[in-house]
Amino acid sequence: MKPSRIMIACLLVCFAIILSFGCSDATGNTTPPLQVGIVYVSTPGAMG
Amino acid sequence: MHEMGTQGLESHFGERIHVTRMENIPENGTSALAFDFLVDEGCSIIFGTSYNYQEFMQDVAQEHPEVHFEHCSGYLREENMSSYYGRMYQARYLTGIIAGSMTESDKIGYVAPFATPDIVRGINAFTLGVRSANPDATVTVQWSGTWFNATIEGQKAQALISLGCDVLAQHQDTSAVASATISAGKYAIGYNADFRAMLEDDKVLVSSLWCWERYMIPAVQAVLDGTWESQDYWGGFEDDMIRLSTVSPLVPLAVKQLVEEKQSAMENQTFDVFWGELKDTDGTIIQSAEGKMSDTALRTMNWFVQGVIDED
Repeated sequence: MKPSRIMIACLLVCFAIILSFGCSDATGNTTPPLQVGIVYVSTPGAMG
Repeated sequence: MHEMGTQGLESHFGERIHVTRMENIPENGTSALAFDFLVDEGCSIIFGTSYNYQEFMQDVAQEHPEVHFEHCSGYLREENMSSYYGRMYQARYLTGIIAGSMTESDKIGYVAPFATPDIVRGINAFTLGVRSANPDATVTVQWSGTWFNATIEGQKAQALISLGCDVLAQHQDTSAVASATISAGKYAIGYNADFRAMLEDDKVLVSSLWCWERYMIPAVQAVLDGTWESQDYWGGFEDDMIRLSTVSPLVPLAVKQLVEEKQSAMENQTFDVFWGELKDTDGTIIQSAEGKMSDTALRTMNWFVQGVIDED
């Protein structure tokens, strides 16, 4: 059976969805969290 | 406190950031190891929150131009290292008005760790506020030699109370000074956190507070956006970098109104603390009558205004 244009279109859409899921999480955020560092002279629970 | 700013950062960005905290890091070469560690952990932006970290942070920043460094309270900068701070001296001045209005002995105490320009500036601003309300009052300073040691801070508070001080302020990282002060039936001025709410005592007259997230959130956002640039930031009341807690009901309404007026004037920049003629404790004129002090002079302040008694 020769693939119809509709079948090819469906395959392309599926491929795009797979790609999309592969690059993003549930929130649509595709990048890992930005790593932030902070250095305290005392403890974070202290006032400083 | 700075940690509240960090928590504000986490709350704002959620899962878009991950924060690694390093605590109890002394202001020596150990801090360079801490900064290096955070670089190795993959941090894109690193905050250093104590004055004497700055030279160590600068060394690490020069070695890692791909990482953004943020130093609090200093003045050194690099293309990848900003300095940021707030005009806490403005809040100190207002708390000084309250202290000067409430003292009966005309003796006010102040416990501070080290004589850095930031701390000297805070003591001077506080004293100017005190003397604006009560020209006869003095501010006696006891040096603790530590940022964070409740035992020593409490001992210094007791020493000031023994000298007759009936209102005590502080530049420390615990609430020990305020606790000792209210236990002795005296008035306390809080710093870094709302001590009146924390200690549940109206003898804590007011606290001056930081809003670090006002700086930290835009800084992290700029890294995420790829628009971060090195800057020298010094925010005040006008951009909510600092603020006062609510004032104790023990403080008369007229004093509260005066504080509000002065705060508005600072927000509108029609008044600032170091304004007009200023003399040091020897009577030497440091600033003439015209205008306000430059930021450069504020940042290098190493002299005390009249009214300060240095117990060192």
